[in-house]
Amino acid sequence: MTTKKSFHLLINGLLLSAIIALISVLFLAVETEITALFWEIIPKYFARIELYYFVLCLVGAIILILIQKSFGKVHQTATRQ
Amino acid sequence: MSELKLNKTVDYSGVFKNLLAALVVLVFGAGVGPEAALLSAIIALSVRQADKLRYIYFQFGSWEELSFLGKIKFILSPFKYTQTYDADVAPADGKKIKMIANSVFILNGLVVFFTLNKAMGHPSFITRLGESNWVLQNIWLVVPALIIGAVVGLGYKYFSKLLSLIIKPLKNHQAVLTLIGAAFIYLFVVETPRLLFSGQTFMHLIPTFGTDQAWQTLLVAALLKLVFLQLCLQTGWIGGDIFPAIFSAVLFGFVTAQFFPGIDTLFIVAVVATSCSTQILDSIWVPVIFIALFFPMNLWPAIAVVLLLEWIIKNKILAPRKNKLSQM
Repeated sequence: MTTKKSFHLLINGLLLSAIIALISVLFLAVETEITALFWEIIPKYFARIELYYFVLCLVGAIILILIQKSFGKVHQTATRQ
Repeated sequence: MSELKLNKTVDYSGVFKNLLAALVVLVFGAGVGPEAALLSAIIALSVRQADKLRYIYFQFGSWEELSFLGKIKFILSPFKYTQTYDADVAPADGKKIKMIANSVFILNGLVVFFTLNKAMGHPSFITRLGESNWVLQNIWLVVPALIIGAVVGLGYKYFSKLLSLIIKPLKNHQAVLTLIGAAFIYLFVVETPRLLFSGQTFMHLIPTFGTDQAWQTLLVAALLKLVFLQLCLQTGWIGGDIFPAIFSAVLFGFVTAQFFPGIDTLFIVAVVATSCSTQILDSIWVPVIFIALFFPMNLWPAIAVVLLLEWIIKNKILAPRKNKLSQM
């Protein structure tokens, strides 16, 4: 393998692994932020908190059902053996 | 994982769909952890990286001809320009280089991950639960810890089986199941909001919570957490079970600790949590990596003793007996 080729491979590998990390961080950040929004920030503006939670759960269920319908079998989680 | 072994690659087009579905499950309060979706995404993306690098390796000529912009496109385009592993054309001397390269890329990924996480100001996944001054004389406590873990693990398995029997008639009506799951989430929000989510956000409060509350409260919380986890998983609110299981296991630890007031609390929590989480998850290595991070280093030997005993019981005592039974 030439040095040039290894250099190209190295740079690309570094970039690609950085992208993986970026996606992971973004996923976690978005999750944290939306969770805070739904469960801490918005509830402050509601007097009837139970009603809000009821609607929230219902909306969540509807979105999840739609996702399950359109994507088919979602969630290939890395199952532990 | 089996897909990877079979085809030498995976269908990475599902990565973002999976992440989106996981996101919905997580932000709407299901009691599961983010680690399963994240792990599967990382595995799929790593395979993609390997396929791309392989393409560069074997098609170096056409790669070099690409313009700078073309090269950027190459990196970013999700599914084009890939070459899957083929043992026939793989270079024989490549093993060592490959290993070095792989470790460099993993390290790079981790560094970027933690730097970005810090930069965004997000709390890390792991919180230390405190300090410990345990003494070797108390090591006998691993015996009750092992018994508690076995009981909890067995109960969890039976509850899981029972639940799947109950929902069996609804297996073909996924929408109904999802709604039932949402109804339980609602119930938990109103009754015990602290048990929502995977538990990792609440983890840092456990040390005070775990010593202030009566053991009955903690026990109920630990049990409900597991019930909630199973309800979520079996109604389609799928996610990671590692964090919730560890959360529950740590609570079991604090319950136990209240019965031995003279002995170092965190030591008891560590051994009981190790035993419980390994039994609940039915795996030794996965929970231990997480468990070890929650506890100070001087407790690691105690955790190791629990694991060693569990391994001996499972492989040297139970396994031969099972074989004998099946031979009869």
